[in-house]
Amino acid sequence: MGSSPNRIVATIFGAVYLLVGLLGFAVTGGVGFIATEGGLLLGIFEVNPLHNIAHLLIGAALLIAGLANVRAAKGVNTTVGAVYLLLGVVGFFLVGTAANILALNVADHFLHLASAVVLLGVGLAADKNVPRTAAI
Amino acid sequence: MTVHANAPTVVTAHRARPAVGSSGFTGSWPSVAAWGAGLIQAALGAGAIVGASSTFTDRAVGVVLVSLGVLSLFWGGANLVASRLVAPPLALAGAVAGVLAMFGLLAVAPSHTGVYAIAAGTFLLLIVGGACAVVVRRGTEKPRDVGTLRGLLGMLVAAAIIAVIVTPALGAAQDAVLLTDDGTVPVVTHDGH
Repeated sequence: MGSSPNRIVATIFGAVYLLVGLLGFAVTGGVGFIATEGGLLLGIFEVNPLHNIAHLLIGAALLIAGLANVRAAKGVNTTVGAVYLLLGVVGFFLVGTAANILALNVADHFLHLASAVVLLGVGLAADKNVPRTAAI
Repeated sequence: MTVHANAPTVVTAHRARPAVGSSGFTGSWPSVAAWGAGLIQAALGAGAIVGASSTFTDRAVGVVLVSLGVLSLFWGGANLVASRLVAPPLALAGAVAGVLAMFGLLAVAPSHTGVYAIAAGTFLLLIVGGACAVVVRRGTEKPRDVGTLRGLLGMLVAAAIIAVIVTPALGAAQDAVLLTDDGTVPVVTHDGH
């Protein structure tokens, strides 16, 4: 992994999101797959089964990319960060509507926004001199 | 015309100003502030466009805000890629325009515009505008090397601060849009799960 900020961030965030995805299933027993009101993870983050699966997929992508090479980590960090930033605006207008199929609440938005800034920021700013074919 | 031979000669000495630039720790902060401001402007603008009681003027200001918000998001990313503030005079003008547009929305749709969102957006645009003004005044800038581990630490701090400021601002923007004329916010029931 060396000292690549992208690989460090992707690996840490990937592991955390995988853990969050797994723990989410412990609080979503009996919650509908796309229910707009889910269970509370750690008492604050609202999740439903679809939200848990999204966390698992994102966590797996980040972790695999972080363990693979710099180029993969940079690409996945940038992509996931951009999606989370978009979710920052769109998600707020879904809360309280039937379209809130991820059961998002304010604590979720906080976590997604902070993740977006770090992932997108590191993806854009760090490891700029990585060759296209590099597998570092 | 009388010419005074002993008239004093004005000599302007241009002393080289040192290039400005932030350390790796704070180098990303104007970009992250631009992202926060961009999200708030986009949310305020989107709310004005889709609001049930929005007038033509509200929607026009909304389009301006969404455009400025999207530009702000891209500008923040471009800075990080370029390791410097991109087009600081234009960004400074954009920050001023953003503040004016937000207060313009407050003027035309006061009951459906979140005041906290405007305050937070103005604060973040002041950071952006201030950083750009310093670079414009100095005329040169050192590379903002934020792609280091020190820069990563600074970005983590900035992310936490921005999330604390922007999350309630987006909530305020959403609540203001949903506010009905009797001062209540409609609540969707979640039957069937």
